[in-house]
Amino acid sequence: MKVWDYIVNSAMLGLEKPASGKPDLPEELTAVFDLINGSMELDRESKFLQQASVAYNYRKSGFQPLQKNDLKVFTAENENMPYAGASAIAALSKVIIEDNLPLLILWMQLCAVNNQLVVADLLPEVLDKAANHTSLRRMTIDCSGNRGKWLSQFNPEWDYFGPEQSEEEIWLTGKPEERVSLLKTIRLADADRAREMVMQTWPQENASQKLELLKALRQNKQSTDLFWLESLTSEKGKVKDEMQNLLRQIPNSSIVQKYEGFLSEAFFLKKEKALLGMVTKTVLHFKFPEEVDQTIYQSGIEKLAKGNSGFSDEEYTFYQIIQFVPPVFWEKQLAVSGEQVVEYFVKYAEKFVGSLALAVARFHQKHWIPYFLDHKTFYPDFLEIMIPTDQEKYLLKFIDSLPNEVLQYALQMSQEWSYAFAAKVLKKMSGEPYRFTLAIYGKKIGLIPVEVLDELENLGPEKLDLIPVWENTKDGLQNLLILKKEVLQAFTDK
Amino acid sequence: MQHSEEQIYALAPDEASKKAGKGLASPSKWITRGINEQALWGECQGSGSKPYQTQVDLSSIAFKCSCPSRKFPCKHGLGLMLLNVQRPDLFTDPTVPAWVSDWISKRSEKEEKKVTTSDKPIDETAQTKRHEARTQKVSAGIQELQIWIKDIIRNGILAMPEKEDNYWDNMGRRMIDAQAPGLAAMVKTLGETKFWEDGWQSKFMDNLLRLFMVTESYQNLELVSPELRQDILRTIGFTSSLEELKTQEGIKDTWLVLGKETNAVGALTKEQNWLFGLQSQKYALILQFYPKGQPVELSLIPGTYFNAELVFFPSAVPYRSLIKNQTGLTTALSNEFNGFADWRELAMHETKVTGLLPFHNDMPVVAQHLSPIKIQQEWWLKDQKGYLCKISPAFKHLWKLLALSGGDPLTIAIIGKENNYLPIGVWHENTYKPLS
Repeated sequence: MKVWDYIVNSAMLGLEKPASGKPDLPEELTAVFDLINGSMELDRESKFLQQASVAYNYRKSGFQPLQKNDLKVFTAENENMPYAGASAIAALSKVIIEDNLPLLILWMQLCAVNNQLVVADLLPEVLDKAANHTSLRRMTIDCSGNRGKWLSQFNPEWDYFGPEQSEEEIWLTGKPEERVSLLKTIRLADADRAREMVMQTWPQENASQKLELLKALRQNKQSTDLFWLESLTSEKGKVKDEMQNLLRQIPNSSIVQKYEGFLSEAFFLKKEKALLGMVTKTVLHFKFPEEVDQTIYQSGIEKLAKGNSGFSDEEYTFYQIIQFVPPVFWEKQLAVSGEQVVEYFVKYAEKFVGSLALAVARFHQKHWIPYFLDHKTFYPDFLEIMIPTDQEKYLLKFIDSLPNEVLQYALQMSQEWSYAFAAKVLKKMSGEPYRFTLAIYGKKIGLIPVEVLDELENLGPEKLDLIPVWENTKDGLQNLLILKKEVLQAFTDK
Repeated sequence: MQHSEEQIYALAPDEASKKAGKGLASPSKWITRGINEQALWGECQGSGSKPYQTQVDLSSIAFKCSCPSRKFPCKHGLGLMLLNVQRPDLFTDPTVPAWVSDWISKRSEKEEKKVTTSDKPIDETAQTKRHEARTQKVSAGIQELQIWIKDIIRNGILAMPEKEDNYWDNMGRRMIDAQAPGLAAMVKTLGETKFWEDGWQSKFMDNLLRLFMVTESYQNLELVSPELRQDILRTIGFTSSLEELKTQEGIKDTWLVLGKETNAVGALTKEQNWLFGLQSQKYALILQFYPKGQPVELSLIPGTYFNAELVFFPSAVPYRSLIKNQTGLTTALSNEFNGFADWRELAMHETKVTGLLPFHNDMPVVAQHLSPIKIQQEWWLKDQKGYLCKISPAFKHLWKLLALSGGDPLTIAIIGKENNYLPIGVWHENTYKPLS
């Protein structure tokens, strides 16, 4: 037994108990141990403690590190892209300390676009952030270079680097979220191929996965989807609902045709005399058909208005169906232009104008939107099919009459606001510093252009008691905007 | 020479202070701002009617603020320093207000007073009496401690994990009563053994034997060298006269702050600052104790260099030191560091130090050509000859070390012994980067 092991074993048992063996004393220690043992002045414990002290120092002084010459250290490959510059790295450090995701995304986007890399010092923090936020992962992989790839192999949380997988491998063996993400990407580029992929694996999918895959097919819907979607008659529950939802948004589907058939019986133009018969005018009439195909009510249309006050049951059926019929139907049905269709609805079927607007958005009939712009009603669904500049114009129309709705949708935009729009939106937001806290500005800093830095002094609430709250928020917002400016400048200053 | 933001954040006592300090690094928060060679100051409008007066002594990085915070530095101190780094153009006023000059001159007076107090006549008779009384108390305490150690050995250390806190506390208190606070701290360390970890028995024995060696050495003081005698006395808790030390000639050098560690010791905060002299190639420890929530006399920031004259406490292995004169922050003149070439060379050094001072604490060292390598589930540092030592499981910045290395060898500052080392900083692209 090695001498130190002997010391520890003896100490564990205590000196009252017999020692569990004898130490293999090295030559250098034999004489010292003998000398201590031979002392008449020392008691048993003192002898042991002195010998143990010698052994302790012997162990420490004679330490030999393990040697293994056959171990190969695998190193990261050299980088073939440059590192981001000093100012960019300084900005990234601040963004990490600030813990602001939108600014981190902005930094990473700029880094990736400029084909630059994150320096080694900050790699672990960036890899950690991407582990928690999937939206950062692709950019992180691009900006981490060979060092990041090398590093990721040691931490299971950074497994998103993984080996490159083919689309087929991801589709057949990937995680559910990876499959859905792949499907969405393919659906945008090649809608038919995406549908065919789903068709191939459909029998093997479970209900929740079927639902997610159908949701992924919501974008870029095609008439070629109809054959397959209409064959899914055996599906139940939420899968069936989603299938019907998709069918109702494809113009040639049998259900949309049923809806059109229903509406064509109910809505028509009729000439009537007015002003004591001196003039005639054309009026939009609607009358609930006496016989209704009951399968309509099996397609997700509610029969009773219930809590939807202001609608009779029949009106409510109309309201629901109109939104699932392409607006072009009305041009044919009434034999008038789209602009006139909207005018007739406003004059004679005002309750259904909102439903018509929904159909415009749902079937992406952008050219119909101008017909609604003079209305006092705000149709938020239009925003989805508008380009950012039109979105801003549309929202500004309502900023005074419907500030809450406008702010809600402004904060959901995906493009950075223009300076003019930002100034007006921030003016409203700054008036409610308890509602729009610094945390909200932090989450939405990607939308706010840095040019409004000069505008901050002109913002704030009118109520005096709210001013100190806003001042605190303003300072924080100013810091965030300065940081955003630093991030932007860091990649433009060469 | 200005600090970097990273270095200022390193001064923060906690994460909350970092965030709060960052929030205060905004021009609108500061009613006044000023700077000169000695100090940085500003008035921050807080929630009270009067603004908080915040000041930083730039020569030795000390803070003072009129806010009620118990944290040091407070968020105002951090915010002011950060703002100065981010927007130096805003600090244009060199006119020192009275509240700043008062504080700076008081600090200077305090320094001078420390020196002049040594000029006061000493009542040698009273001093001798006090010393004798203390020696008697310490001797009695040590006898009691040795009996306690022998009891442990006689009954076996397997019973140690079951001991209640008061088992350790009582003996610690007895050592305080015996005016041997150093021994009290060593007893406390024994009680803090991680009994749930594998191999606790060996670590416990290490500490028990160190305690035993100190007690034995004290009883044989006349047999050891004067330097080792000082080590023994200091380990027991006898203090050295700092004023007297400051009269001695020190080593003038550019010192790199390799790292720092702070621990709570009862009501005190113990701060260890590990330094490395660029020309002298000496390692030094600046040890500070201060009550929790009180301002620290000197804030050293890992990764910074400063020119100073350090006086070492007399020791068989001169290491602990105090700053006699400091002339401020500087940059490294050279980025060449001659650390140990491999683990065997370091083991030889460790052997030499142990021979001179058998109960020494872990000291930092710089070693070259070390590559991190994973063997099974453990991380090791491999030198160029294929020798390996383990990275301490307590090391919290493994990913940063790996990122900086990429598997390539680095020059690393480490602290530990035998087969267990904690990295505290690395040289990467000619810059020392603390791993904290």
